[in-house]
Amino acid sequence: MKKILSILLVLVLVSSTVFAAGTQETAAPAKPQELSGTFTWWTFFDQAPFLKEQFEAAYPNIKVNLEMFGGNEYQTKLMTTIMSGQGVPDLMDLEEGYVYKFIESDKFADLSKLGGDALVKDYYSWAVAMGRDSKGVLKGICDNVSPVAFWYIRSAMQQWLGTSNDVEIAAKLSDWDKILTVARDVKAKSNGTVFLLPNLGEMVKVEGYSITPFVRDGKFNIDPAWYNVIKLMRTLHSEGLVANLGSWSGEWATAWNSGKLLIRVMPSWDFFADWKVNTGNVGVAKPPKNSYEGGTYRAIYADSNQKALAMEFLKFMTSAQFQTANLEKNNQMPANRSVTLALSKTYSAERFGGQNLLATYDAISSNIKDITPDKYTRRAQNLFSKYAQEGVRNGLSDEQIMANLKKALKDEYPEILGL
Amino acid sequence: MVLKNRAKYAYFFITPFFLAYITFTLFPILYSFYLSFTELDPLGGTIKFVKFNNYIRLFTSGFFLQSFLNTLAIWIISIVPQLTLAMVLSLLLQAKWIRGRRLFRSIFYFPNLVTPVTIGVLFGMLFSHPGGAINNILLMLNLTKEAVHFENSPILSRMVIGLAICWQNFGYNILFFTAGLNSISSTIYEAAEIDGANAWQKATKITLPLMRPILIYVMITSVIGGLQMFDVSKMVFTDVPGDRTTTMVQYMYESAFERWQISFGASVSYGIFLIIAVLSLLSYRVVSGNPAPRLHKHQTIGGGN
Repeated sequence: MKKILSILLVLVLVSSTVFAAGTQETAAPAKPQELSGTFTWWTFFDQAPFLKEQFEAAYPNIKVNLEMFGGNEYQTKLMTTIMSGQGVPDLMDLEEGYVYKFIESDKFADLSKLGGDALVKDYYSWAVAMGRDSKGVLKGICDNVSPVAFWYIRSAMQQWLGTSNDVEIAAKLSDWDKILTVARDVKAKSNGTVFLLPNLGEMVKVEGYSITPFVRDGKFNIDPAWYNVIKLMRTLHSEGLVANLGSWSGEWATAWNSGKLLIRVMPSWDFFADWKVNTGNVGVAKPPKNSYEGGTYRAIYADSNQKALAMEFLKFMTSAQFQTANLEKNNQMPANRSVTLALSKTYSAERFGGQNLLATYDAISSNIKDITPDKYTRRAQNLFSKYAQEGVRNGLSDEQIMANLKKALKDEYPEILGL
Repeated sequence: MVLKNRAKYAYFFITPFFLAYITFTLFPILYSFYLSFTELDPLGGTIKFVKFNNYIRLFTSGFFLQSFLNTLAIWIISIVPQLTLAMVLSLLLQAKWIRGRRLFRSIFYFPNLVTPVTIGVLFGMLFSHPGGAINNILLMLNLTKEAVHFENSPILSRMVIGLAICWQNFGYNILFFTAGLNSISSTIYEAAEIDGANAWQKATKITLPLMRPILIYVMITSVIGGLQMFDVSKMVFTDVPGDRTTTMVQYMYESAFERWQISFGASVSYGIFLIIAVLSLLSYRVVSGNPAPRLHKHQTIGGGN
């Protein structure tokens, strides 16, 4: 009797599994018009209303309750709201600088369990890696990527390098030795009035994600490649090859827009070009190393009762439809590589002198290493940049620079081992 | 009986204040003190008692000590010219031959109405390198051969921040000094004149001694406010070598609200509190020439013997 019961039970289980799977496979996904409801989305990002508008047009019965907060207050508000557990939004935007502080927590939904992996299967792999926690669980998804490139003014490059073509410029600046040669040449020809590079810190932006981060698995380690960056900074400083203009400063932007500074190392979302003066005169070239800066990741609150709607939103955000519209409207590079590849065959950007930006950025993005950063990665990189620049200016040895870095890291994060 | 009822009403009227005080001031003070002995994981919601670990970390941190020295240096750079300027201008504005004294007082007070963040951004732009207005003026007047990198120099960057704070607050102190000067009876000066006192003697023997209570107040509030400086110093320059303009409150803010080490941030707050308390007592002793304030047995709060 027991045997018969066991056989029956197994049959019931197997058949229910088969039928359930069959139901899943055959059930047609709900059409956007059929879905309805409201969910809340918090962001710091000023382009969020565009996404909301596009989504609500595609999903007319879903209302997005979008709330925007500015500056650092956003992070504070988010943290305190999650801590209290009251009024937590269903969907949250997390910026690259602090996404890792949040997604380590189990307060954020595992997107793989909600079908997130399928949404990012054609994404640049490093852009997916950034949205994973230290255990590799997918917690955040972005809609665009921010590869770092050499931004230049075409007329200025034509004058000083003899070409305004991005591929030719990339070839002339394809390694640091070539860059040093060009920097010396420009400085000499212009009698020190024009510079190729703005400051010593730009090297770190280019090299940042090609070198093993200082902290991995909670342990401090120095990849010898970081010493090459210091060495390069020393050469640039001792020969006076940089303009000493702080990144993002008014002087830095003015010098570049007027052709006195030839290169700014900036991500694709740069907003310092003076388009009134330089429309059609801006170019973007591939740097010697592939890197990124910034990124907006969207994560779903684990206790949200609107996870399905929020996932539908992520589905829309990752679609070719939205990423194409976002490229056209906001010049945001698609995170979905298949979108980039499809559009890059015929793409040309008017403001960039007809350059095929997608081809340039794809050459960078498809070569960025898959490093899943943690809360130490960007901070350690920034501290290295700061202490290396200070050390080079003040004649400190490599060991002293690294000792200063370790001291600062230890003060901020005493739990890091090996400091 | 009537008096007893009135006392009841008094409790009724003061209750809202005390409720707000307990909720929004006393409780956070006590709770942050408790937090300073723990390790709080804000997102995980776990809290662990760690005894004095945060305080040990605080007082062995070279960066906190550095932030204290930075704060002290910027405060001294700003307070000396600030009080001197305020006192000199207050004395000048007492002179009856100056026309439009009220207008001048208002103009001097205007910077105090500007938010510290705005002042920080403004001074950052004025002193930026190489194209800030100050550099342009220096170059135009041939006072320097090349633009001065104020941000790159620990001393100059502190001086710029000190100047910004001085500019913001000197008008505020003029108000107190003017009130103090007005409270000195003219008969004292008249008596001194009859005795043959000159202007210097009147200033040093009458004005300054009688201004002492105001000076004590201004000094102590300056110590408390000055050592809590944050906005201006954070906004003027962002990348000074050796973090020489990072103040104590900035260090606390970065620990608690950028790195989310809330418990450590709480211990930094108590470290700052301790330092301010000690320096306030010290400044009281220096300005008043008396030991720390203490009520004698035969004194009442009303001040009488």
